Amino acid sequence: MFVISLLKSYIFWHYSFALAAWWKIYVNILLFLFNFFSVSPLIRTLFSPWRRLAESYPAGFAPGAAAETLVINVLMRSVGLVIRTVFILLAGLVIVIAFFLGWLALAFWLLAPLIVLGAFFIGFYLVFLT
Amino acid sequence: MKIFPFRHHLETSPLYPLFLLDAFLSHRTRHRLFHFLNFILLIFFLIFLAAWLIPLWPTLTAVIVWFQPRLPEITGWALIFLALWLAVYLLEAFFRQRYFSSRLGPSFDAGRILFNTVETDLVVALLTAPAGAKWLTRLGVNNSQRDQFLEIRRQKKISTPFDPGFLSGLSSFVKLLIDTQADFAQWLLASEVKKNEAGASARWVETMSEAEREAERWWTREHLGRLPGLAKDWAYGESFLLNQYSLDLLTAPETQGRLTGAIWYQSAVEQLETILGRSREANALVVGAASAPLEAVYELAALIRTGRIVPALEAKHPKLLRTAIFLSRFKERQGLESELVKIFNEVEKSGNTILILDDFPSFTTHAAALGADLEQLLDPYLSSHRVQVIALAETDAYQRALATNRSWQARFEVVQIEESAVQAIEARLFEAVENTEKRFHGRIIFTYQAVVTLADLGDQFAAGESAFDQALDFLTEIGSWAVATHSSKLGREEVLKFVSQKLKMPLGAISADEQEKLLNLEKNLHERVIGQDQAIVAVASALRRSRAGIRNLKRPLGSFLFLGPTGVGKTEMAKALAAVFFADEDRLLRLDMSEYTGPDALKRLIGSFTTGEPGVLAKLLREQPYGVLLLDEFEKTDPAVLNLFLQILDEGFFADMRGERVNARNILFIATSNAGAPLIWELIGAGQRLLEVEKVIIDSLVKHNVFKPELLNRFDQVVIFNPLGEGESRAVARLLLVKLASRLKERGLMFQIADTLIEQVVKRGFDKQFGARPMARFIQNQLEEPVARALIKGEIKSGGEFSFDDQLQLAVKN
Repeated sequence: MFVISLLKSYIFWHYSFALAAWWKIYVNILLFLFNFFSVSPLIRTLFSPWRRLAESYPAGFAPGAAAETLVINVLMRSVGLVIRTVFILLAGLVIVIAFFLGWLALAFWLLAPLIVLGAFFIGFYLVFLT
Repeated sequence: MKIFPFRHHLETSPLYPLFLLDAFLSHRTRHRLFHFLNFILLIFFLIFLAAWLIPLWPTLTAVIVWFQPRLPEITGWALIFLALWLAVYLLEAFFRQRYFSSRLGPSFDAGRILFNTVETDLVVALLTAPAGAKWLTRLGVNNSQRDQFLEIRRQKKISTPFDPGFLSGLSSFVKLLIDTQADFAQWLLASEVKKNEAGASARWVETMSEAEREAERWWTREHLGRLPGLAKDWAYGESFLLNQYSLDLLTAPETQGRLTGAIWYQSAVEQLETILGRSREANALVVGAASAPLEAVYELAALIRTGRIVPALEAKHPKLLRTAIFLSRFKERQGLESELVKIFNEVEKSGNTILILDDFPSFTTHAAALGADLEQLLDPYLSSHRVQVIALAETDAYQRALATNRSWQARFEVVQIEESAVQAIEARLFEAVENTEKRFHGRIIFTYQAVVTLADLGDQFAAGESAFDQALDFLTEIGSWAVATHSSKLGREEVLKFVSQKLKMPLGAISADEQEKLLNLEKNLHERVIGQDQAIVAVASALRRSRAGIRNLKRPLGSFLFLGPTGVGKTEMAKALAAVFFADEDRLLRLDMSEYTGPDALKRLIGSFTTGEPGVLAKLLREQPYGVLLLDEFEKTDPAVLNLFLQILDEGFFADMRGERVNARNILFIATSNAGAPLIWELIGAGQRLLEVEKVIIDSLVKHNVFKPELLNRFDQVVIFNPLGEGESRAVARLLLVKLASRLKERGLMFQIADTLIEQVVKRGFDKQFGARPMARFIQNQLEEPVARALIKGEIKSGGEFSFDDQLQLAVKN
């Protein structure tokens, strides 16, 4: 009676509240990965110089020095762009994997009670009946 | 079959399935089982890995031959264990999710007691439940005390009626029982547990078990948010120069223990978020007692680290510039100014720095002393949209240096922090106590009363730091002390004993020795102070009140103004008090107040704001914050100094030149004064009794503007000392001679004191106007001097005996 009552509550929870909780955790983890890889600041600052390393343009008319500064600044922005792009791609890959793993986890969750029973009975069969 | 008398009350509770689960497999059992199954599955995994790898080595065919036929059986066991593991995991997930989703409803810990008990008496149910046992441990009640009570209680065969209030929480469970079960309340009181302590301790136990469960949920936003973003700083610049002088509150190892995530200065932190989130002039000046402003900044840093901050501050790094260290590098204005400009340029360029300037009032003052005009120098930065600054200031220093400065007021928005009450300190200490217990791996455990006592002592003994920091200091040290002294359970008495040993000051339970000393205080003081019965009674009773714990902790230990002619025992009384109360005459600090006259008197006592020189009084009390402070010739000091003492005697602290608090709450102040001595002579000479003349003398002092009435009122007692009479002068002479004899005895010389000698000392040494002091000088010149000569000449040998005749001639009997 005791165990049956517990099982009833459990099964009800497993296919109701737990699904809502799965969604919450799923979103949490995706958001976490998004933040962990700093995707949003990386996109926002995609073309910014690497670690704000930039030179100031010389005052007055000095085309040579200005061109030199321009080259350095473009270089710094390019370095920033390359590193950020690589990192964003890496983050995207991890997030996509997590995205699918989440749905896989849901499928597993839905089948979990059956997996418990199946594993137990197959195990029992293999140990005692073969 | 067992009957559970309260279970049916819980059937409609959302936690009911959890009680069922807990009764079937408890939280702890599930954990153990889960770890065990993890281990077993790991072994199976290794077996399968080996089965897969072994065929690669043909030499191991014997193993393969053994293994092959058994593979289905091994697989079968692995599947059975896997099924068990998964089942336990699912049940645990069920428990956690339901537990946290119904956290605002009925209490799990309280409900579990009702669900599991077979007792009809809920007092018995509480005391025999695991949560009840934890609760009693935290109250310092031991098992034998509990068992004795349970034995009596069980005999009464009580059936406690159910009340829905029992389900509100362990704390209300306990309180309801205390309110309705008189013998239970009585027993708790007899075990030195008050009702509010019982309730608060239950709340603590419940909070701890909730925190334990919360720690397991790694997937929550709060937990995941604690991991910092990998590339958040890539868009921002470096600040190499600033890093040399500052601590990054998010990453510096020194700050890690402080970012607990608990918010105690909610209002200040919210204001900081708003101010710093502004588009320009995002500068705050946090003003509060001692280290409270810095703590508020730590809380802000913790919010940034856990990602619970407003988006505008998400990627920010609060960097604490230690202004005192920074300033110490510069001797000239130019160096300081140029380095400061470089730092602010870096802050501006980095884009993600919140610059925190500690002790801002001193920073501005000392910079000004070097000739630097910080207001003008920093104004362009402070008004720009690219710099965010938080300046920190102690309340008194802020009032003195910044409150009236319009320029700073315009650039900074002031955030005031109210001083945290002892209750708030307690709440914060609980968390720290749990961490300390973990650090000692459960070898020590603090009771609830111990935490409350730590909070009180922190408040009482805090000097430069905040009360919480002081309590934390005690807590940090008490752990090692407890391990060294093999005290595993730390209650109120242990905490008091530790602090008392550390500060060399009597606290806590009064020992038999001390009890005798306190009860015989008058007698002990009389051994050193002759006559002055009224003064001795007044001082002794004030000290007893203090030691019995009924004094006001927000004021000094005691404060007395001794009035009387010179040489009547005022100073001796102060010495005797240090010796009797603190068991150490060195605990007597002394200031000759006649040296503190003139306009610079106050500066010399509390320190100079401009030169940075520390004050004598501030230094003295910082070095020795517990003892007797004798203020000789109190009336001669400057009126400004007397005003300072108005505050010290009233509140037990003052602020030094840097605005830092100096604690004087554990000091016994004795001010002496000869003012009014002629009047005392006159009145006593006219045959009036001391008790009758007291008011006349005090009125006269007020009338002649020697002391203001409000200052006299601040003293615990104004004590009038009698001029010494003839009988008393004889007793003083004897005492002085006995002291001399005992000093000589230490050198192996026997000095016989004849009555005739005493008469001579009184006759030739005593002076009505100057009291006993001339007698001491007389003994020094007329007796000590010949003895010294005789010793040098070898006329008195070690072990030799000598005396003085009535002509004061030395008679030696070697």
